[in-house]
Amino acid sequence: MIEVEGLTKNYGERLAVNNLSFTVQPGEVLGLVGPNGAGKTTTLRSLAGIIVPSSGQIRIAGHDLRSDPLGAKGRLAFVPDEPHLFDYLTVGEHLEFVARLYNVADAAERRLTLLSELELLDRVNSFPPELSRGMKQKLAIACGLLHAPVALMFDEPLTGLDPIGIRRMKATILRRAQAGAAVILSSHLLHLVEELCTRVLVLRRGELVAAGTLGEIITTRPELAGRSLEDVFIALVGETGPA
Amino acid sequence: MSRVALGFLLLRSLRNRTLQQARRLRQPRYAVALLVGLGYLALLARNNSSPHVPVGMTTDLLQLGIAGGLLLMVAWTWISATRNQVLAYTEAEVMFLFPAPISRRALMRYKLLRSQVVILLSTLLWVAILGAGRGELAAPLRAVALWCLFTTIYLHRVAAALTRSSAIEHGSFGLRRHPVLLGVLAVAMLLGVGALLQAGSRLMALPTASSPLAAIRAALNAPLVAILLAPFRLAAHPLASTSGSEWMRSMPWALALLALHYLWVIRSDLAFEEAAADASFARARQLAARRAGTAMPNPQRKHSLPLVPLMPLGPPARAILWKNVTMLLRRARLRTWSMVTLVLAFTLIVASVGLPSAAEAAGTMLLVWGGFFFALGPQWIRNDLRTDLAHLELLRSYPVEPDAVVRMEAAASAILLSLSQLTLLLLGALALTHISYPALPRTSRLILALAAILVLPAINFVGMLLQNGAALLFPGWVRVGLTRGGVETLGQSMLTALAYMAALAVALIVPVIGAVGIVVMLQTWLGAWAALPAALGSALLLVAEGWLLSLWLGTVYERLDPPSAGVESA
Repeated sequence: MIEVEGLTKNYGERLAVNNLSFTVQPGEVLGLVGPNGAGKTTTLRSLAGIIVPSSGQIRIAGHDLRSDPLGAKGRLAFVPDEPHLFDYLTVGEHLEFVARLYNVADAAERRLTLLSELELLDRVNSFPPELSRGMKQKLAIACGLLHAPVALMFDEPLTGLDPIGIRRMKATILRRAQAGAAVILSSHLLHLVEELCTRVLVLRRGELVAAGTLGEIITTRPELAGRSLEDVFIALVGETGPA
Repeated sequence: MSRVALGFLLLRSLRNRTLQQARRLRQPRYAVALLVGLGYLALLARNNSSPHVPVGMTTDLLQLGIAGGLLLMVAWTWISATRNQVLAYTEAEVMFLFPAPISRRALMRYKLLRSQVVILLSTLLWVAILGAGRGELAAPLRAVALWCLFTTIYLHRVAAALTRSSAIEHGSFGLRRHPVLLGVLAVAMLLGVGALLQAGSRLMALPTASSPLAAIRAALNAPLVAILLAPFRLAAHPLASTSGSEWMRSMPWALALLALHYLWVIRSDLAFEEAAADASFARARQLAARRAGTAMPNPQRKHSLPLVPLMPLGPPARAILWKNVTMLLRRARLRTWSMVTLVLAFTLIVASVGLPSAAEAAGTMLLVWGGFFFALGPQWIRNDLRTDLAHLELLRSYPVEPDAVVRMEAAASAILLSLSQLTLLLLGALALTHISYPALPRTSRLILALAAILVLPAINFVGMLLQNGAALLFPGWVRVGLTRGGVETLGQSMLTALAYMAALAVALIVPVIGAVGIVVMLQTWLGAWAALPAALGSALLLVAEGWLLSLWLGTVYERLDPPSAGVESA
């Protein structure tokens, strides 16, 4: 479970996220949507322990990220929009490295399953510069899933994947949620959010604009009834597209 | 029109970059560091303002020394297997300029002009570091000599990279397009082999009691070596001049050499397009490693197993140490180990054939090189946070204590630096085994070698923590990545090395006091062997200091905000 209370992050005088609170239950997929600069990536980075929030409290599976960072980080995985890989480690060694970081006892078995699931078995001795963009993304995801995290955060997870890869990735995300992981997914692809997410969090300029299922959001804005998530999104963030 | 656009790009980028750096000075730590740096430079310039020439250093010998160094540098440029970063443009430059209606020659001129920014800065720093008034040569004349030398070296590196790329891309056809160059290269190679043989026979003919300086002079003055060195002496002469008139006589030759190099580069524009684009994309791939659209195998890289396997269970922080050591060995294994083997073979051959003067020269050079490695090695071996800051987001998401991350990052570089230093020092000591120094008997040398084995890793650990600390405290000023700059960045490297040595000297105060205390206490019983417990004691004190330093740096690492610190993720 992911619990966030009063999360605020300032960059100097600029307020990136303001007093954000929400909870993601095990098995739930929460969609984080908003226009550019809404604070989605800052929120995810704060939840992953990459940046320190200015104020607020974050708990991952009951472990406070501030007072018990190792306990919390050991149970989460963050997959960024751009795969961060080490140029001089092979695909297999990336997984060995991550296994040691998270002390995964049955790493060899899990490694095989993940490489097979993500179609990387034949590239196990390849270095990242020899991989395509999509393969790099798959490797980053494999690294994130190796320690079976209970909290998963994806930032634009489908970037660079081909249609088959997209289908497999959606299945991978849903499988983890069904296995009991709390998942947060940030994306501009609203059809993806609509398809995968059980709830949605809409951000604008660091502020929470709306939260809940599509039905719950429409309850508060009856004039949006019958509209698609895209129309609802545009209405909520107050920006209009081309006619 | 393209000239105006390229000029705009160059000047506006320079202005914006300067303003960006200036804005950083609003943060007190950057402002204080700048003031300290400027004060240090002023102190250097003041101390070096009085004319002085090192004892025994004649203009001729200085010129010979610089020429010898240039020869080695140029030889290395040509035999180095990797493609030269010197050709690379930034990704944005490739995206905007290559498809634009701009001639390749204009692009090359832009590239050369852009390099002048760094060369001019380096020149100013070197004038301050070397001293403004050695002999009677005025500072501006020395600056012009330095600028000319740096620019010529830079142009040579570009030309060498272009020629090599052309040969790689087009095979022998690529070289056949340049018959004159091919002829020059062939003559240079033959001359090189002949010069080596002649220098060797000169050394063999030396009396056994000759000094190392005499051996070096004899080798460098052999006729074929002198012919090989002639163009390098032309380039070095203005810098070695001690008077304005000598400078005036030598400068036209150095400028002519520079002009020849410029023509060489600018006429290589046919090879330029492919080579520059290739190098730019390769660099972009290495540095960013994220925007490549299709699989791009690297034929130069072979998969080799790590030295030590990584077990899945155990202290997580050690995985970072394993990663960094594996990465560096993979990157530099061939180059580093071939160099080490060559030096080892040379030393052993010289020592075994019973040539004391040559063995002494080789041993002295190895020890001097070991000393250089002590000062400059921490900048050359940078497989630590200075590289991993590009992966800061990833590192920060790992469940590892911040201070442990800092310690392991520093330890990875310290281990490899210590191995390199100890190899050089031990090889030097091996070459000097049969030379007797009354002031330094063999027992004392053995004690010194053992003490070095004990204390050097600890010094390097603290030193690398200082280097990593600088990266954490001043991320906006530290170059992120493994690549080193060429000769044009030597000034900054030298300045950084001096600042590093000063910081290290402060860190060494307590351990040195401790070591002296141990020697005083134990000398009565152990004699000269008291140096060993003293070395051990100082090493323990250094490790304790390093531990405390890492605890503090861990908090800095934890607080570092990637976006606000100006750290770009890979």
